[in-house]
Amino acid sequence: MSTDSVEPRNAGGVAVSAAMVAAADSQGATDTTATVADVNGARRASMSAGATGPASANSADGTVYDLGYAPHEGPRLGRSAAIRTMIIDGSRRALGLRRKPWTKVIPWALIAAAVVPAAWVVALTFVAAGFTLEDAGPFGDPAEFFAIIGNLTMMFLALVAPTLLIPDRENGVLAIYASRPVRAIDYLLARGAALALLASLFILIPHTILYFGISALYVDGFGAGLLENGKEIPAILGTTAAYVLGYGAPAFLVAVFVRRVAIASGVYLLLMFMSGALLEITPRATEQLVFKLLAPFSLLWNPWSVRDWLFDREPEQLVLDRVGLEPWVGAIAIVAIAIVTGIIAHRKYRETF
Amino acid sequence: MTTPLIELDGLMKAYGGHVALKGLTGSIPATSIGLVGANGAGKSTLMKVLLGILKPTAGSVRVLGLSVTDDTIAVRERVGYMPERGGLPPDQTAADFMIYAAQLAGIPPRAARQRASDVLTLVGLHEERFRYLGDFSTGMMQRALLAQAIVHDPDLVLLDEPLSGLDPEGRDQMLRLIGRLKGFGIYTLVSSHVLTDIESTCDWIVMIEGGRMIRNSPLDALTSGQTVGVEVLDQVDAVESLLVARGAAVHRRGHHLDVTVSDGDPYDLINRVLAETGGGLSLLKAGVKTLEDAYFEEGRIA
Repeated sequence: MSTDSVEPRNAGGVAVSAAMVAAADSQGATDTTATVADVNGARRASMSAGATGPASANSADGTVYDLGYAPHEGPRLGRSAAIRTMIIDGSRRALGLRRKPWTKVIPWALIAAAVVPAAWVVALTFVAAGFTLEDAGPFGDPAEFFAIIGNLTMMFLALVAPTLLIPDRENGVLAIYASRPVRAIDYLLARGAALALLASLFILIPHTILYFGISALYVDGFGAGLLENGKEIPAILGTTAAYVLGYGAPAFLVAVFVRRVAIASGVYLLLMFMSGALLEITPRATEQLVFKLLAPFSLLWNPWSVRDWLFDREPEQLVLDRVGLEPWVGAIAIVAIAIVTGIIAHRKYRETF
Repeated sequence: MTTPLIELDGLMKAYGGHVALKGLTGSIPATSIGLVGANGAGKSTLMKVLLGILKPTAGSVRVLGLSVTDDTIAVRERVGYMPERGGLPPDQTAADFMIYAAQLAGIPPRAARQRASDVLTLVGLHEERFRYLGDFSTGMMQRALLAQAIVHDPDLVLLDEPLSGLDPEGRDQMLRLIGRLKGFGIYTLVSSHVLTDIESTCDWIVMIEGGRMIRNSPLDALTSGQTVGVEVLDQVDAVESLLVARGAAVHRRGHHLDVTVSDGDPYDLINRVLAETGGGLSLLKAGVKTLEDAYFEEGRIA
């Protein structure tokens, strides 16, 4: 028997790729057991039958090459590249891209439900004579539009969060992640980032369409409209963050524990609507401590409170208002719930990594 | 200087009150290693400790000269892993998943695409590269798992029961693939309870029984003894005692004795012992000591 050291290895006796074989062939190399030195002057390509096993088989029809194995001699990127890769993969999976056709149906139907009405309103501004901002209804007011897009976002997250986390766990793919140079926190950050990215785009794309469309309605011109509506961009971005984090964190938390995508979606929606029921049971202008303590757990309404705060609107008598808390408490509650979600998820996933 | 592939120093792993690994100590050289043990012996636990997935309760472990606990990420950059079960997303094509697996290990996108294509060719799945992994047969899945384990060009690949669930043809293909890895400069640690598979692919053997390492040696040192089967008519006890006294290892089953000598001619020894004891001979058969023989011998001793 023979043993070797584990000092950095070179070609390992075999370094040939399809390109090299083609190059070697074009140079008249017909016997792959011979040494192919410096093909194209770029890579070492030394291979032997001993290293590759049966390296070639000559027949009357030609030569069948065993392409062997080419060691990777280029750079290895770090964890940040791995995280970026996981974000891209997560986004593709959630949207069903490069997946089976049926996986595209629900996410793209929801995207269409978010984008098409906004695009339709914009189209009307150009084709319908006398179409005004008032005619656009909630589509004409970014703050009001959050009431529509928020519910759609919740449904989108109910699908996306479980899709990002559950299949990896249930199909044993986490074992592959655990064998790669990534940690549990990298994986969770990447999945969370994919979720946040998609949900943000889900909200902001229709907003962007409406921004340009509504600006076109301004009597002072399109440029003036852009400037005027542009003042609301910070509030739109802040409210988007509140919706993404406020609705996304609970979806993520449910997906960490539930084993089936469909069940996780159902559990999440049930949780959100149950928290929404806090609005029904909380008396107006109450001073009772129990309601004050429960109010920040109003998962459904917290982003609404943040919206009212950022757009400087008259509060809609949501749960926080009823117990006498300021709307910004909703923002704190959202961040706190997101942090707790991250801690719980990490505790669960670090057992696997 | 030769750095051992794996160094274990008093490695212990406990799950609550259950101790899965009981103070493993040893140095394993860079070669093709077979990790042998019964179900529940601690093989999979050891593999997870080597990958840094499980933290040792006590002791230390170094892989490729790196501390697994301190340099987990660096170790994982140089190690591949083929899990026993699962590991493949059914909704992704083989090509896409290989590219992804390579990029996860830090291979740049362009190189990842090339490597994915190369390893799928290597494992015989190039024609199937655009099929969804969920549509693969068991044999194809095992080959895809092996491909993902080597797609990032590791120095060491840990294969956890790579032949489980395969039909004879699939086993043969997988064994040939594993056998070729050393030629590529990739060392293997193959866990299996099918000893003939280990025998055909490995040249170093690590035996674990009940969480203890009972053997860490070259395979040929374990199987090199010359074994002869003898069926003795009478005086069996006397024949056995004298053979043992003359330095032979004897495994007795009734009147049948498997006689192994590490040095000298076993036939000559048996002839002399039978003459001295007056034992009658009814059968004399040459035998080759297999890993299975050695495993059961070692297991009895343990």
